[in-house]
Amino acid sequence: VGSSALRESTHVRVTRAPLSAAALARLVSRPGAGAIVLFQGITREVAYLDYEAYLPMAEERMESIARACLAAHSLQAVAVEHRVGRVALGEASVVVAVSAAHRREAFAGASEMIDTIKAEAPVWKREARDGGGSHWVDGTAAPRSRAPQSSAAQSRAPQSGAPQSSAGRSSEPQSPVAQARRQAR
Amino acid sequence: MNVEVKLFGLLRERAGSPTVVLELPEGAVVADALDKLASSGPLAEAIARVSVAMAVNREYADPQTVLAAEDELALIPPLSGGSR
Repeated sequence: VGSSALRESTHVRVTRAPLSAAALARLVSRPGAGAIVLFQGITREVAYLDYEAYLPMAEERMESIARACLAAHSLQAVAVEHRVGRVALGEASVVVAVSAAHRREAFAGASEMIDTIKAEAPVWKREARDGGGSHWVDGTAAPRSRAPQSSAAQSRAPQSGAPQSSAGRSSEPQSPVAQARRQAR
Repeated sequence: MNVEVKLFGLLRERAGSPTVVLELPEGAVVADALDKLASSGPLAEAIARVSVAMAVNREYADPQTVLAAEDELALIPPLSGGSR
């Protein structure tokens, strides 16, 4: 704090450009970091995937997740980049790099980072089908989602008619990372 | 009030537009907006088939969150994260 020489401990970017795992590993390198764990999500079994993100929510969400993981796993630095647009077979669509004093924290932090990003970051992919055409990949329901087929009556709590407060307008998903995120605020 | 809802992925393609405008009564909540989208229009079939969440001002919102005309709303279809 206070010194411009201090490097940021989190780095988040959504980009159309190819990703460099080596560059992210350099970004999280620290004198006290004895361990760097690098995860790359690679496009497989299809000719290509087209990724779409809700910006800037996707970057804000990943930044929030990065800060929560940093605190929860005693990480020294976290970097994550996600591609949008067309990603060819064998290329990375997402790269996560974390550094920590020791490997245990680094592995745990990297694992929670990618799991939570996949569960919460508003990113979608459409995959090419053999023989032409493509379809949106059915992924995981977003946090606080409305279940399909539910009727209007089931999805709405009884209304008392009392004036509605705007307090607590939105709420965090109830994951361990979300709890750490609240504590970190 | 009229609210504009951002669309992504299969919902954007189904609507043929990156946004849809909804007319809602004052004091409407997220569940009201989702009900309206599910009851008619180009997204009704897709919303009945997949889980859909709503983000209000770029945070996932509870169904009882009260909406205002100036809110940034987005309809969030299932995310790309799949198997571990």
